[in-house]
Amino acid sequence: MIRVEHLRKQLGNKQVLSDVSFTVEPGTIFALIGPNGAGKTTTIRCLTGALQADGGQIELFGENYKNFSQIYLKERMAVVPEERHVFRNFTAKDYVQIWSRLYSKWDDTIFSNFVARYSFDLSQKVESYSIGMKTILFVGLCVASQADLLILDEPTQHLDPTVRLEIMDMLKECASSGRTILISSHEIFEIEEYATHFGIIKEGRVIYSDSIDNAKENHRIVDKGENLQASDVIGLVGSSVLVKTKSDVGRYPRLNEIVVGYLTGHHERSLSLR
Amino acid sequence: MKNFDVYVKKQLLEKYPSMVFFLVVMLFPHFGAKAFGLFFIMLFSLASDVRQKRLDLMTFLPLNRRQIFWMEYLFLCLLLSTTFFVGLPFAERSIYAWLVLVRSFIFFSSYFGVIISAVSIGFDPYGAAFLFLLVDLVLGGIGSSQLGPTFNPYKLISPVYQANLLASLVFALILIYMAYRLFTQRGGER
Repeated sequence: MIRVEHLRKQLGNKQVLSDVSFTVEPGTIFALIGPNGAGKTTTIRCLTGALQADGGQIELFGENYKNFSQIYLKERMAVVPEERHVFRNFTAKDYVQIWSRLYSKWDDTIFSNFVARYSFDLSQKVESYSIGMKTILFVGLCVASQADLLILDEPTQHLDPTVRLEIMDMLKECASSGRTILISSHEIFEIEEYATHFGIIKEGRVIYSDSIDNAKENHRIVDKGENLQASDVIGLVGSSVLVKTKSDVGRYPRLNEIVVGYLTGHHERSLSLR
Repeated sequence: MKNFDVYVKKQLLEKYPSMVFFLVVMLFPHFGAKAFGLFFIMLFSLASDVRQKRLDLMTFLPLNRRQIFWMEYLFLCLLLSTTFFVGLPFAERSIYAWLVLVRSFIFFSSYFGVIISAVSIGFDPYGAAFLFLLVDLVLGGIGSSQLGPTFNPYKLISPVYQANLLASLVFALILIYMAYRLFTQRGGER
């Protein structure tokens, strides 16, 4: 569905992406995780055609995505942008009109359910919505677009806990119906609840990507003083160490521990120099 | 076509408060009035979106930069033609009335090219537009368009003076092509 290889992008004098590679399979929820400024949003902007990459390849739906001339590919993806900027003077109704014109598989029933559930005032200007309401509106538009690929930048940001859970369930439902979802998020604790795969991005490079289940199976958290055996040390997680091994040492990690281990570790440096 | 409908709706809804005054000015069947209105409408349109980092709002939708560029150009052509035809009954009934439309089109194409090129490579579109206007007025105002000791070839292609319609049209098309290349390749990325 999505194959990104060695993506590079410089903005001004800053090398924002230096080597981004990952693959997203159909029907999965892939989370791009990383700290602020790691390159998550830039990767998404390259995928959507908002930015042109300086190098590397993007393959979407099995086709090489070049120069963003393939509008039919863009019609198969719907995006929730990170900064919830909206068109000025647009009401939610205006948004619905343009989305339903642009997406041929638009489903009014799905959007109507959204409107009813979250009590949107369709005649109100979207600018005046709270940031949480804007997020819900965009997620609703994305889901109702029936696009095959949903790209959501921080989809649960500024939402209250109940709505977060509802949105996560909805995304899981979308994935189980065969649609592919790419999300970018800082929320490492909640990602485990709904994502199936993940990639850790740091300083413009994807330093690790795998399915969550595989990653847990191949890593261990080892406490101080424990024998590391023939393990590959990844990084520190508090006072413990994250290691990559299949040996029966320590305990299985949680996703957030894997992420923290990779982000604090210097393991990827040696990988990059090989 | 559906994309163009969406674009027109988006531009009209978003920009009408800043466009109304200039559209009224453009109703006057006079080149100066049309050039004045077009100059400011161009600044408030796509160039302003790029400058304010709002282009992503469109590129996140199933639209690409190539489409956005040409839809903006067509949209502004539409505004120019509409105001021209609405104002036409009040114009002098001669070929000169139609000449105003042609000259306005050349002026608009040239300045659109300059403004979009400037914003695509990261310059301030307002600064670039006013600077080009100043240079155009000063450089085009010197000398004569007739062959002789004071001959000034720039006067022939100047978007304001347009001493030779064909030459200024060619100049405008070159500027448009340059803007298209810069916008599709760089698009004021930040």
